[in-house]
Parts: sequence; C-alpha cells; structure tokens
Amino acid sequence: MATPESNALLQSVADSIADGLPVDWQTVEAQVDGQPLRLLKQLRILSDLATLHRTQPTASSGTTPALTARPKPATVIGKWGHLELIERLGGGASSEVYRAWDPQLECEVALKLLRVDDWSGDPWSSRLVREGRLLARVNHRHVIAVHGVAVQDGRFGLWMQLIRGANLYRLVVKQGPLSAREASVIGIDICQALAAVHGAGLIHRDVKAANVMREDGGRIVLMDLGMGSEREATRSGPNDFAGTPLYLAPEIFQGRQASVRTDLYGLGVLLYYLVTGSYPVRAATISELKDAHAKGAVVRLRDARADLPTRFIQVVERATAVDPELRYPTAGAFEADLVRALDDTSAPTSGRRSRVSTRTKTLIAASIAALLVLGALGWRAVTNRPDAALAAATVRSIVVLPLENLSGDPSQEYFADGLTEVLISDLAQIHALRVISRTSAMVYKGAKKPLADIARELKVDAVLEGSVMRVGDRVRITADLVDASSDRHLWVQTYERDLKDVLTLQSDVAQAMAIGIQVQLTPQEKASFGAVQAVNPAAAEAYLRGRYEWNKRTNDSLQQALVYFQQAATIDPTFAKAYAGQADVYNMLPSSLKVSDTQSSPLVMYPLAKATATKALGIDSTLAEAYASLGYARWFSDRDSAGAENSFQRAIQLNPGYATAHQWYADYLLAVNRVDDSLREIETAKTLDPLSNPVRVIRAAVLYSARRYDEVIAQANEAIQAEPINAAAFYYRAAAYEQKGLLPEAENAIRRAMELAPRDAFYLQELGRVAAKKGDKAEAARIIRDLAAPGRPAGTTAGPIGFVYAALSDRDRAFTFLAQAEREHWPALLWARTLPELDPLRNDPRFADLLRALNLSR
Amino acid sequence: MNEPPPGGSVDSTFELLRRAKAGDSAALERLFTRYLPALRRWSSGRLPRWSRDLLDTDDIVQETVIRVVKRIDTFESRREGALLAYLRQAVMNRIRDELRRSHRAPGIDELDENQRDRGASPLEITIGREAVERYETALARLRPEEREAIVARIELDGTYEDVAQALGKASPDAARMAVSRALLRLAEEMDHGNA
Repeated sequence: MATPESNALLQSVADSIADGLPVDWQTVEAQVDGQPLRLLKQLRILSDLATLHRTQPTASSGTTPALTARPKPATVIGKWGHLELIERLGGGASSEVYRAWDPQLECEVALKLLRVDDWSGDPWSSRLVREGRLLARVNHRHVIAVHGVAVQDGRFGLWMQLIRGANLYRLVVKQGPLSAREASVIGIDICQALAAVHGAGLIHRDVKAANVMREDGGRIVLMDLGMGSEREATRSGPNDFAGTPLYLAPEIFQGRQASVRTDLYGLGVLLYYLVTGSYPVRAATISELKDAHAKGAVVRLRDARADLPTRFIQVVERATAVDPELRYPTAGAFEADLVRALDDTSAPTSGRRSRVSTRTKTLIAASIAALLVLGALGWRAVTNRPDAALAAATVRSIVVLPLENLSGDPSQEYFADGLTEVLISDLAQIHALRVISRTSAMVYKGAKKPLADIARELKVDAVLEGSVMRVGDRVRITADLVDASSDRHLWVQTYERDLKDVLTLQSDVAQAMAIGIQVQLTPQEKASFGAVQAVNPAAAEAYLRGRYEWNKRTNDSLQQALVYFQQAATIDPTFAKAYAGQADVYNMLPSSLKVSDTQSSPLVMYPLAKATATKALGIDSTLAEAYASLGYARWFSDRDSAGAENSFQRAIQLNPGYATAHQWYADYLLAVNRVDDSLREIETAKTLDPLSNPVRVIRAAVLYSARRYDEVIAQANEAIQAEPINAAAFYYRAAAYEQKGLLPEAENAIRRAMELAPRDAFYLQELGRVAAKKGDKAEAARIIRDLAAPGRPAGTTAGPIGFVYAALSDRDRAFTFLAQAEREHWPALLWARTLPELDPLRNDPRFADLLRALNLSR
Repeated sequence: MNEPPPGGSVDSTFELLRRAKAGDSAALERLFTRYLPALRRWSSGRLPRWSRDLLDTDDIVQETVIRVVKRIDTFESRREGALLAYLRQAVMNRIRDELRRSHRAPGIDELDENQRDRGASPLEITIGREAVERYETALARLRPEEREAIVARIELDGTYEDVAQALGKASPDAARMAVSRALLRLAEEMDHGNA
C-alpha cells in the first residue's frame, strides 16, 4: 500500500535514476512491499535501461564520446575552414599536422594539411582524397577514425580523431625493446586493425612503428591509413630517413604491387622492431637495402635477441619470409598464431606500464598536454618507474577499485566486477595486508574521485586500479598500484591469459603484487596461491555471472546466482568455488524473503548450504568462503556451536580479509554471549569494509548487547547519515535511547523506523516498550492488540508481544509468548542470552528453560 | 543531445529544419551534428550485435533523419523534445524494418547458429526482451511531454540543460523534476503492463 513514506522513497529513487546516480536496490526494496515494491522493481528496470544508454559507445567510432562538450581552447594559432588550429604537431615535405578545435563537433581533432604545391591538377581527383573517402568506411576501434576531407582556403586537409598517447617508435626509443608478450598483444590489435582495412578493400602500404599509436589508456590505433602510397617517397621526420623502406617487403623492390601480404610483412618487421629496436634487413640507404634483400642478408630474430620464446620468433619469421607465398595469407591467420604464441610466453610482462586508466589519466592531466599525438614529446608521464622501495615502507593496506570494463559492452560488466571480487578475495588472504572488502570498494565504481580522497575515506595506503579486456576466450588484465599520498605508481603489470586460467590469473596478480610491494607471504599463503586450478572456461564464466547476481542480493538475483553456480558445477564438477557459491546463496535465501516461502525456508536451505559447503571443502580445503558458509549453516541450522566456531575460525585463518566471515562470526559470538569477542570481530569487519551499512548496523547491534548505548547511538547515526532510510539503524538508535531512559528521543527514533517499514512488528514492539516504560499501559496494551491482530505474517508477532510484556514486567505473559516464539523459530531469540530487552526475565527459572529450548543453555 | 549546437535555440532548430527541407545542405549538416551522435549511440543499444555487421547503424540513423526532414510537413509541434522523440521513434521503426528484412534474407539462418542470443540487442540482454516490450508499450502510453523527458534524458543522455531546452522548461531544475516525475509515471504504466 502506498504511504507518504513509500511515495517519498519512490521519488528519491526516481531522482537518483534521473541524475544517473547508483541506487542501493537491496536496501530500498527491503523498505517497502505491495504496490510500492512493484513500482521499485519497474524503476530498477528503468535504471538498468538508463545505465545501458548512458554507457553505450557510439556505433561509429567504438569509443565513448565525451558526454558534455569540452571547453574550447584558449589560444588559436590559425584557422582552416571551420577548424581552429591550436598547435603544430609535426610535418614533413608534403604535409603538416595540427591539433585543432572543431567547433561543430566541439572536440579536438588532428588536422593534416597538404601543401598546395603537392597537388597535381584537381585535388579532388587525387589518390589521397579517394583513399580518404574509402577510409571513412573503415570502422574499427584500432583504426584511426576520419572525420572529413575538404579544400579550404586553398589547402587540402583531412581531419580525424586526435589520439593522445605516443607512437610505438617513440615508445621503443624511450623505453627500450618490449617483451615478446607485450609485442604479441600489440600485434594482435594491429592484426585486427589490418583485417578491417583489408576488409574495406584497402592496402595500408605503410605499416610501421611510427604509424601505430598507443593511446593513453592502452588502446592501439593504426594511423595514416592509405597515406602510404603518396608518402613512400617522402621523408616526414628526422628518424624516418630509411624508416619506411626498412618495412618494405622485398618484392616491392622488384617492382611488384603492394598487397595484403606486403602489409603483413610490414607488421612482421614492426614486431621485430618492438622486441629488438632494430630491423631484420638493415641498411643505411635504399640501394644498400635493395642489395641486402637481394643477398638475403637477414639478421635472424634469435640472433638479435636470444631470450625470446621460440613460438614468437616463428611467427615473426613467417611474417617476414622473403617468399610472399610463405607468409600469412590474411591478418586473421597472423593473429591466430600470435594468440597461440602468447601461450608460449606465460611470464607476465613486467615493469613497463601498458595502460593508464581513466582515473590515472585525470591525475596526470597536466602531463597529457605534452603527450599529444604524432610524434610529440612521447611517453614521459607514463614511464614513471614503479617505486618498490617506497612501497615496502608504506603499503600495508589497499583498496582494489572496480576493474574497468574495456570491452565497451555493458553486458560484460559482470565479468569485470566478478574478477574484481576474485582479486579482492585473493589479496585478502595475505595476512600482512589489509584489503578493503568488495562492498566498500564498489561504492567507487564509476566515481570520478581523486585517488587520495578514496584512500583517505577508506584509510588505506594505496589504491589498486586496473582494467579488464576480454576478446573471445582471451582475457587481458592491467593492474596499477598507486601510492595514495604521493600519487606514485608503485607497481604496474599487464597479464593475458586464456579464459580457463582467469581465476589463476587473479591469484597471479595478487601474488606478484605482494612480491612487488615486498609484503611477506607466509608459506601457507604461497601454497594457497600456487594451488589455484584452471577451470573450464564456461564454468569460470558461469561462476563470475553467479557472483555478479549474488552481489545484487535480491531474491530474484539470488535465485539466478544459484542457477549460475549450479551450472558452473555441472560443467566442471571439480570447481570448488561453484559449490561455495551455492552455499552462500542457500544461507542468504531464507533472510532475503519478504514472505514465508516453504521452498526457501531455513529448514530446507541451511542443510543445503551445509551440504554444498562441505562438497566445496571436499574438493578444496582452503576455501575460506566455504568455511564461513559452513559455520553459518552449522549455527543457524544445527545450533552446533563448536562446529560453527571451528568453521568461522578456519575461514578467518585462511582469509583474514574476508569481511563476511568476521561479520557472521561476530553474529555467532554475540549469540553465545561472548560479547567482547564479538566486538573484536565486528571491529575487524568494519576496518575491512568501512562503507558497508550492514556492517555498521550489526556493529550497532553488538554494541547494544554490550550495553554501550552511547556508542550504539553514534554508530546508528553514522549508518543513518550514509543511508537516511535505514530503518534498522533508527531501531537501534531508539532501543539505545530506551535503555538510557531517554524515552522521548526513543519514541522519535522508533517512529522514524516505522515510517520506513510500517508493517514491521519488531519496530512496533519497540514503540510498545517505550509506552510501557513511560507508564502508559493503555498505549502498550493497544500496541499488543495491534500486534496480535490478524493479517500479520505467521511467526512474526509472538516474540514482539513477549518483548512488550517484558517491558511491562508481566513475566507470565512474557514467557508464554516467548515460548511460542521459540516454537515458531523467531530468529531474534537466537540472541536471547545477550538481548537487553530480556534482562527483566533473566533471574526467573523459566528463562533457563527458554535457553534450553533454544539450545543456548551452555 | 551530447553535442549542443552553438547558440542552438528551439527556433533555430525549426529554422534549420525548414531550410534543410528546402534543400539547404548546410542546414542538414547542422541538424546531423546536433542529433546524429546521440541517436547513433542510442541505436547501438537497440541493435543486436550480429546485425551490426549486416546493417550500417550510421546509415540507418542518417537516412532516417533525412526522411524525417523530408516529411516534416506532418510535424506540427514546436517543442524540440517532440522532434527528438519523433526522430527516436522513426529510427526505432527503421531498425525494426531492417531487422525483419535481414531475417528474411537468404543465408542468414545458416550464419546464425545461436539465433536467440545473437538476436538480442544489448538492451534486451540487459533487462530482458519482455521488459523491453513492456517499456515501449508504457512509453507510448505516457503524455507527450513525459515521453519526451524520458527520451531526452534517459535514452539520449542529454544534460538537464538540453532537456530544459527540449521541453521548453525554465531551468535545469525544472527539467530534472519533469524527468523524475515521468520516470514514476512510466514505472506505474510498466507495472500495469505487468499485471
């Protein structure tokens, strides 16, 4: 039923969707039922729809455009047509290249202006224009996008996407040769670009390192398409004296036509250059070069660099074979071999920064101006060497920000989010490192906050950010650890693996990072990292989808998560995490339901949780999540105190950074009246997951049982500030005020909780208790009648009525109703040993009976 | 919507339309600059991935805008938001036509081993086909101004300034309120559709 409160809630959710802000669906959906809940569900669909449209890349360029117009530049050095020239980036005999402002598109572009005397006859009939027009049809994320061609002010110009980054030639000059792995990864992207070019009926003719950009952010972009034919005879830069000829296939020197195979030869030379800084056929002049080709004077790649993997060498040598028939026939065939070569280079590329994420980009914005395209100043801002010494001194706590999904496909979010979670979970195993839990880390998904602010809010030394790119069954992950106080890059690596190894990969990243920042790993931790098994790719994928659904924590998403986890276990019956995931879902299903549902009742679910957790541990006895689930089920299902405690402790021992294990353990410890231990665990959970509101509320509950009421109020207020519609937080504020005897404050607070969750019997009983303590027995009696009235869900009212009678000091009725609550498995009674509400009954012999019935007497 | 034109007022939009219809190619270019990027981005969320190899999204969007410009006599509203919603619907209809046509094309069935998955647009993959249908039906039932608010802000990701201009609202705040209210109305309509 709609109420003013539910209307306000719906309005607030609609505002958030309109503003493009995230909504905590789990929390808001818990606040309402009936029609408002149904409307919330529709709003959730609309939120997903808005997010999809907001994050959809443009169809034409494959890149996400700026959402708002960029500011127009302050200084303009000239004009050409509608374009305002900002800066000359480079130039040669026949053309000049400018950074320019396009006021119509409201963005910066690269403008190439041909010199007037370079025309012969009608410029519109020039080959360059014809090819420019053809190129406009090449639509690929690794190929430069052409915006237009025109003659203006007597000059022919072609303007295109401005790429901020450095070309590969500069990269090698500045940093030295790359690893085979890194070269392969770049080569794969260029193969895809060439496939698009060839597919459009074009030959590039000028594939070379200087014509490939690595954009800040890592994207590889093939430039200068179709220009080659007009530029073969020109020299466009001081280093290009013999640059282009060195990439030319030998048959070109014999007067044969350029072809797909000559382009692929060029790519072979490019790869050779990337790993050696040199060329297979070397010469100072074109005649020397012709000579060298004629004599077959080739420097074998193995001789140029002995440490390269054999398969990589084979790929490059096939690409640069003298006989065109022996070379790769297509870019696709070349790419396939490069992908296979990656398997042969399983060592990660190290030290060299491969990508700068969006967030980092904003931090180094000042340096970016110096990095503008086309041979500008190069790679300076991104070559800051990781500073491990600094790391060793400072990094003992980190947050892993949600890995960026670089696929450009929102439906792949689950993959990036899932890998983030796996990485957090792997890192959390390291005892010497405090790792912020997923819930708190995900708060920063898509946020544009400075890293220093994030680190300060989470009280961590360093921030790990990165990205995930998945192409078919290959996965590439880049991770970048930044020191929060100095903004220095401590550790950067890029990894690439098959999908089947994706979980191993996360473990590798975690371990390599720990070593990189000199965190001591225990032998057990090393063993655990080493023990991660490869899984069937389809199982890994189903598992990550399951985790994604699980984290939404709605009834529907939990059901969906269960399906995925079951699917993963069916595909790969030895995949332990798939069973642990099922156990998590079975434990959460009973409490996720608004209405009773025999299918999901605790009596059914907890035994299933126990069975699947046990199954998981039978396969992998080091899975912390499975132990935590087992502990939870053992306690809630069997009241098996010793078994639960063992399981929780084992979970924490295996993964001290797993906040949920600490949280569930705290819940358990409170139930068995070990309040100090419970406080210790919930404090740990809060340190690990500082922005999690469930943790805040449970901490309030623990403090409440510890009778530390002022702290309860402070903690509840913190939760309310973060989430003003958190009814449970208002409840704890009310209960603490009630215990302190501040009854008007208690009444105010509980009325707020009831506005947010009007049908909740537990909040109504608190109002009854406040009335009882005020001496207003009539009001307390009215509330008891209200609680007892028909229409409330079965099993939810006897306990609250018992609590109100306890406040009225009516012991007989209190015990009668509490006994009924026990028979009905009213969950709150599990904490009977510590709940302050039951204090007036504790010295009564019937209380011991109640504890015995609850299996809590020990 | 993402590329607000320099000094682009509502009047200038309709003036551009008039000139474009009269054959002024510069005016047509200006309209393209104003609307194509947002519509292309929008359409990439509505086209199944497989179809992008067969259909040129850019062509579809561009041709649809040209057709709308030619038929502009039938368009009477002076609100820019109405024009946007109209363009969006026109592109949507064109996409449906093209998809139907490509499904009938010979050879497609053999190419498409996994018809069900490959046939889904990113939006359908995200919220489900049934929800997309319910959404479209509910959107059509909204009052024009509500529909325009949803299209301008939620689908085309315009800024509140853009939305205010499109809906003829006095301020971005007023536009925000209009979008928020329209979302609630839309949720109600979708809920009815769900009953």
